[in-house]
Amino acid sequence: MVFTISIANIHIGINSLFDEVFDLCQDYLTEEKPDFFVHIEEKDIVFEREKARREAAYEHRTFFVPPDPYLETLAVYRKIAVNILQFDAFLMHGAVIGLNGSAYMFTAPSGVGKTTHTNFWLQTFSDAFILNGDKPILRFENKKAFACGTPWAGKEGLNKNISLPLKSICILTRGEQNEIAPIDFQAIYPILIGQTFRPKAAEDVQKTLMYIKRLSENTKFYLLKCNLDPNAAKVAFEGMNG
Amino acid sequence: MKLRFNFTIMDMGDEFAAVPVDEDAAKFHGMLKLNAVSADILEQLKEETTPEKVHAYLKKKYSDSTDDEIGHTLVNFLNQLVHEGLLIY
Repeated sequence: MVFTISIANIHIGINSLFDEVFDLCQDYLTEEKPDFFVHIEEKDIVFEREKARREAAYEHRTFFVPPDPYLETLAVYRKIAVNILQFDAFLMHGAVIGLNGSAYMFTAPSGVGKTTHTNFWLQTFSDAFILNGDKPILRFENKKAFACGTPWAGKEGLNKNISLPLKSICILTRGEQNEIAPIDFQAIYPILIGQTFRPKAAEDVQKTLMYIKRLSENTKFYLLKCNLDPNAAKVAFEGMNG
Repeated sequence: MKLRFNFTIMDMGDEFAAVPVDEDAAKFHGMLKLNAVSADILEQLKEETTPEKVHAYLKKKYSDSTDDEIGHTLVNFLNQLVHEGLLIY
C-alpha cells in the first residue's frame, strides 16, 4: 500500500507490502508531497530476518522468527534512517522526555533502565510526556538540534508527533546514589556513536559523525548515575536545569 | 600491509573517530579513538603500503620529530592494529 507520513517535518512516501506499517504510522499520515520514497521489497524483509537471526546468535538468545509484517516495519525505518541524512537529521537510540517546551534525551545500552527512569519523570512531573521511547530522530534547524517523535518507539510504542528543542543528552548509568554531573563531549562521543544508527555507505557515515559532532555546539551533556528511587527524576531535572 | 576493514575517519574535536563502512560495517561493530598521528597512519593504511613508506610520510609531515620518535609511535600503533586483528600483512 502507498501512503505518506511526516516525521521531523520530512515528508516520506512509503510503498509497503503489508498494512502494519500503515497502522503503525496512523498519527503521522500527511497529504503533503513526499520529499523521498521508501519502497519495500521481499529482499528487505529477508535482510531484517537474517539480521535478527545473527543478533540472536551473537547474544546467545533463542531465535523466534519475527512475522514478516513486523520485519517490514524495521526495513522501512532502516531506509528512512538512511534517507533523512540528506535533511540534517539522524536516528539516535534513546528515550526522549518532553517537558516545559524542551526535550531531554536519555541514552544507554539496552537494559540499563531507560524505561524505568523515564517512568519516574512521568510520575514526578505531571506535564512530562514521552516524545519517543526508543528511536527518536534528531534534526538540526539553524544549527539547533530538535528531538522529533516517530512511530518507531520501542516495545511500549510511546511517542508523540511533535518536535522540541533538544535541551540535553543524558548518559544513563546505574549507581548507588542518584547523582548527575555535566560531562564533556569528548568523553562521551564514542557512546553517542554507539547509540546512533550506523549506515553502510562511507558518505552517510561521514554525515552521521558530522551530526554527532554538531550536537556538541548547542547541546549539553550529562552523566546520570541513578538507582531505583523515583527521586532520580528530580535529581536529573534539577541537574540539567541548575 | 593494509587495513582489514574500510574505515572512514572524522575529526571529533580533540580526537579522531574511525568507523568501519560499506560491507565491513557489519563485520566490525566498534570504532577507533585516535590521536592526530594515529589518524594519519590509519589514513595511509587504507591502501597497500609498507612500514617504511608510512614512516617516510610521517617524517615529512612531522618534521620536528626524530626518526626514533616516529618509529616508536608507528611500531606501537601497528602492533595495536595487529593485536586487534585490523591489519593484514
